[in-house]
Amino acid sequence: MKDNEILIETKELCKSFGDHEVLKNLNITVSKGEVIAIIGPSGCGKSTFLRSINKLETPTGGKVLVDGTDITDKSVNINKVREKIGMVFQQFNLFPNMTIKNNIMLAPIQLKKMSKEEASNKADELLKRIGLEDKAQSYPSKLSGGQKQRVAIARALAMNPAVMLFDEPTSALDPEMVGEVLSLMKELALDGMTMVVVTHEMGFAKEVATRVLFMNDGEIGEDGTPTEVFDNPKNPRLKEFLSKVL
Amino acid sequence: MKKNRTRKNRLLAIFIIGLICVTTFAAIGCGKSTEDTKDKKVIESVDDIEGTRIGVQSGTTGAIYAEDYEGDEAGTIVERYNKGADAIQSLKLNKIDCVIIDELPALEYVARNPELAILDEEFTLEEYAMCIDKSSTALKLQINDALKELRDNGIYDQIVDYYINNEDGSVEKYVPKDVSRDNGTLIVATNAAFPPYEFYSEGKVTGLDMDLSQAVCDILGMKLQIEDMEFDSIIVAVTSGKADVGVAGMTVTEDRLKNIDFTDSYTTSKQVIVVNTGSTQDIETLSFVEKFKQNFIDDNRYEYLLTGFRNTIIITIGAVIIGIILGFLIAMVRTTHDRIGGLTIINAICRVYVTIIRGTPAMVQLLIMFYIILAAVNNKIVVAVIAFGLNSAAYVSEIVRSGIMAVDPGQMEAGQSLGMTYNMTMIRVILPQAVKNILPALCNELISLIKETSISGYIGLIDLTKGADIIRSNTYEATMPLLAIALIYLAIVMILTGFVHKLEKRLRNNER
Repeated sequence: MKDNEILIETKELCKSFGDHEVLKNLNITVSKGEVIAIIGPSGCGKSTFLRSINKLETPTGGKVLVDGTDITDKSVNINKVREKIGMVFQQFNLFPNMTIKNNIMLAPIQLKKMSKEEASNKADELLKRIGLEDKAQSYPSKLSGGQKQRVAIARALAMNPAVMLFDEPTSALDPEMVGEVLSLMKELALDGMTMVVVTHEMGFAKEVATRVLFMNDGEIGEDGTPTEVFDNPKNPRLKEFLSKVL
Repeated sequence: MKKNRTRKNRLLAIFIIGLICVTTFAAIGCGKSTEDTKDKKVIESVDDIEGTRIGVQSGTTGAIYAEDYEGDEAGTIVERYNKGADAIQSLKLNKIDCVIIDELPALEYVARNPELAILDEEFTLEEYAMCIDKSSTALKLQINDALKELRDNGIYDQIVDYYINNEDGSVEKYVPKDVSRDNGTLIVATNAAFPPYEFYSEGKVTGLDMDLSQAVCDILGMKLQIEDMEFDSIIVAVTSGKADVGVAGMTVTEDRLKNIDFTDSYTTSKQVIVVNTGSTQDIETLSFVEKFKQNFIDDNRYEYLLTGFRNTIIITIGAVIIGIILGFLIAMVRTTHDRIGGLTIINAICRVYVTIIRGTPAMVQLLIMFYIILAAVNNKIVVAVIAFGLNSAAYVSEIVRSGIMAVDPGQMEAGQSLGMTYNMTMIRVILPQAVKNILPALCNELISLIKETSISGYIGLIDLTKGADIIRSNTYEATMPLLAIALIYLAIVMILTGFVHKLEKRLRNNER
């Protein structure tokens, strides 16, 4: 595989809610192996951008190419594309009506990606990896926030996605649980997983990301390596933002 | 185990309290009516009925005569009952002052209720005939010929004598003749609470009119099928084709002739006035055991309750199945439309459907279903199951919809972000959570449905309530049959509530 293979490419991506323009002509590419942290003030469109990549939000203009497929084309089966994109939500969104293990096994079995046995083995393997093999038969309500988010990550990984999207994965967690989730994400990054992470954890962005995007008012304010963005910011709004959060 | 037992005891306790409550209400009801006796008006002739409360059977000629007095200066009040027997029961309880009713039923009622009496002065004379649709001229002529033949060969006299002049038991009941019945079925609509013309005996509708109808069928070579219904439904049943003829001690009146035709008159009758003399000397008060025996054991009357119970359960189960399946489908259509668009036309149909069903009384829906939409369907249970099922579906759909809307939208997003389709996520993730949340509301709907089926009697179906009605019209005793079915309904509902409660608990335990 080529090292700079492009997995996601947006072309003039626009999204408005009524009169309010949230995303303005975004042209962003995500290549294989990249770990991109998207930072920016609240309401700048970070989450909307992330959700446009797997069409949880339908773009109002432009194109989104995932592995070469334009998902804004209505004839494209979006469910097939989503199988390649794992997503982790701020609120975990585990399925409370099934056990942890079934949460992980549901999609691979439903989508006939794996046999029941394969899915079960895969789930055991993932649970071991996140250190929660003893919780396999528990229900989500029994878990702490950090444990829930780790299960949510395992659930997304069970589909063997090509890229993982994280939508503020630690924002709903108690401070003492943030670490366990971030270190799991770091492990993933080190394993070579392509990741797009919307986050307020500047430390994580600095340390783990290969590239940092600063979004402001629906546009890309700055795009560069962590060193460039954090140590040598050029955009005045980024400077202002960093002075508040660092 | 121990916990289980305390639960059972608690259920039993609730049941007993219910029983006591119902009995107390009944006792209060009885006490009140006896007090009313004091200001009762004494009626000795036709002239005295002005200003009184007159009871009549709805749709009868007695009702038409009584209407002349209604709203006069003396303040006459006309109370319309669905059955003659109900009017008589009210008279016994002094809820009304007199009942205007046909002579022969009046004689029966008075014979069985010593405190009642018929005024010597008769109200009016009239002729009974079978009603038949205006388009059925050929059948009308055939019946007229048959009636004439029966008069000529003495069978008519035998039938009348058996029911009216048979104190010594010398006259034999008419027995259906062994003839070939290749000329189809004659469906006869009647109201079997009008002895001796038509009434229930040993689980079957019998009486003078019914024997006469049988004799006519024997001559015409037809099978006889009797349909019991409310008196004022008979003409509608005949004009809508639900029945071929109405034979129910029906008087020929000008108003009726506008809608329907009549055969030649087969007997004459008088309208008479029945009053409650309040003389209790002849009345032997029955003990509880005797009353129980009279209402449930004699004539195997408990079988009406058994049949009724069976039908109530069948109707409820059938309706629940239709209601749940259709209700879920409607809820799915409506939420899918709201969430991801499309389905505009089906969604509009569902909305109109829910609006109409929730905006009209279940009874009206049942009658419309029976007389108009499913007029061609003669199986009443099927009609009732469909009517109540369609009714319940509208309510279930709204319950399910609210349950789906209450599930966090993040659940759908999580499912879809894994590549699962909308339908997969709905079935595997959203609905299981929704169902758990709406279980109490669904249980509530089931409970109201069971009780709602008590209007099935309006299409002549013997459900639990109708079963008690039949017993009441035979024994002229309201307390026992009504208390009995009240307790049966209560027991059914309590058992069901118990089941649902257990199910709820199990579902909740799962996730802890």
